[in-house]
Amino acid sequence: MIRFILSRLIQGIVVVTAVISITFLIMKAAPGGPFSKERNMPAYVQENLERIYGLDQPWYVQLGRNLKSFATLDLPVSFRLKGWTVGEIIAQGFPVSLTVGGWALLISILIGVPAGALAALRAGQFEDRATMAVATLGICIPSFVLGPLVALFFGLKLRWFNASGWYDSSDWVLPAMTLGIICSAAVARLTRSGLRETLLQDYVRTARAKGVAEKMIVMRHAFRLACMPLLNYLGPLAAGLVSGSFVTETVFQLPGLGRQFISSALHKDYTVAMGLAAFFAVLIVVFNLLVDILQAWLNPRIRLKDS
Amino acid sequence: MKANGGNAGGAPKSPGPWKAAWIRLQRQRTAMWALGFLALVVALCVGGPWLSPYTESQQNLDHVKEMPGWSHWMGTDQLGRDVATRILFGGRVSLLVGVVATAVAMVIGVVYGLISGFFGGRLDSAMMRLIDILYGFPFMAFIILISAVFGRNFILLFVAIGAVEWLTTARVVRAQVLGLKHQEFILASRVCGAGSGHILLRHLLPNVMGQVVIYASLTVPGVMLLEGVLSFLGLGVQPPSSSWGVLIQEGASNMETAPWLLFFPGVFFVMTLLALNTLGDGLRDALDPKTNREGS
Repeated sequence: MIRFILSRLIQGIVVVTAVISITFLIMKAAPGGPFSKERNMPAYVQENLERIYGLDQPWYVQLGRNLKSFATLDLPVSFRLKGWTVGEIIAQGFPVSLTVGGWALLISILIGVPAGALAALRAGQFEDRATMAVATLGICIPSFVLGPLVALFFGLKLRWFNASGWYDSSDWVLPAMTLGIICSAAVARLTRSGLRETLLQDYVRTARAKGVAEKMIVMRHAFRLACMPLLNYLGPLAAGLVSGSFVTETVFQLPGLGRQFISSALHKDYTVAMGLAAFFAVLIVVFNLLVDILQAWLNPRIRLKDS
Repeated sequence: MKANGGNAGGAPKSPGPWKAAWIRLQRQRTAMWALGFLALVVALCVGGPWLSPYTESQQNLDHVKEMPGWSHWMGTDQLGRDVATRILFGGRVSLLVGVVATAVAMVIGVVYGLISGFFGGRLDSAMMRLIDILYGFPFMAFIILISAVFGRNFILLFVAIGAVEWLTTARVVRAQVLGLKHQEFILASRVCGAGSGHILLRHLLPNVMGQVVIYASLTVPGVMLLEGVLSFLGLGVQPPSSSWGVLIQEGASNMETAPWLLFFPGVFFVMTLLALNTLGDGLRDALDPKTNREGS
């Protein structure tokens, strides 16, 4: 177990280092730099700026210095937001993304799991067909269609919530609802297929033969195994949700990490883009590890070992 | 469509299994409806713009944001352009991105999976380790980054999306190859003196194609969604050319005054994705003998 976690952590360090390097190299490969967009800047000012930030050095020196500063958590400063370090930018945006993403995750589970379970238990019947028809439609509705509709209806027409921005304490509701409803479709489909497959297993038949109540069979015996494929989906999903959805944060104008990343990419703010990409990667690694541990705990047939 | 082509035409070398799958697919009504709808959408997007009296970027500032009516079936946008015509032109781009990027992803995934599964051993475990590591990458961030810093480069968009979507295909193909490579017909071929290249191309590749077709048909809608996201964020296809993502973005910013600008492109996009997903599910039932048993 401990060896497994250690080997995963080492793999995680490889991932994060690679992500920082790739982000840097993509941005370096593109023409122009962080200061080439500002107008009315004399050439010598731009040169001085680039010297201060070390942009005049060869790329491998810059990359090495950046990697070192991330490794020692002595986070570099932003090129665009003067005086802000990458750490401060993450600390400001993450609570927004975490609130919206966390609620979205909760909504998707609360809708998707019961709906999928109902469909699995009534397989082939009306409830199943209706739920799955809605779920199939649901996975096809993109957030950039549903988001504006939700903002229009609940924000502008009914005026229950702000249509955009991050001012009131209830501003997480609409974006979280948008994301949660969309993700609940896939959650329902996975719950259904997982539960259906599990209910056909021998050990479930044994439990039935012993006379265990159907409710107990589903809740205690089948469900543990049935949520394995669901957990595999939820790990990366949770990482993506709490790190900020690019589309939803744009639709609802939220000051979260997703939008911050887009603007840092557009303005070639190397350090912020690297820091955010690394942060996204850390979240993915952590959530995948959590999922593996959770699965081993739920399924006695899985033994964690370093592959 | 790609899936359909491979299926309906049938591979000439082994007509048996493909034909059987086609017959099984025909029995599924919803999948056939989806196939018919897709054929219609493709025909409209390819041929429709020629029949339309308007062009993609023809502006008419006297008829701005006109409601749907006889002269403009789906209304006009904020610059007086015909929405129906723009949807058809945009559909060309969206469908093209979906098919081409999927093809890129499938080629990479199949080659990677075949090599990894067939040669096995150290190479296999190293290649699978690499995939494990790649799964930890924030790919959406990379794609946004690439389109933001290079921008306006269509080919790059294909490559970037294709380079992301191959991971699962590679895993699926590898698992198939592992199951196949010790079977008698491979051994027989070896005994006859066939080299690795021959076995890979003539025996393993045709046998994994069924799974690849299933995955391709489910990847196309995913890729179209990605293209939509990028265009919506202003990082994908650049105006005045359009894609469904661009049209939806324009519709979203005008939805208070002209809701049909969001409605029609949205309906086309969602319906096409729905048809693709339905067809993909149907193909899975038709091509994958494992799920056939239950016939859900």
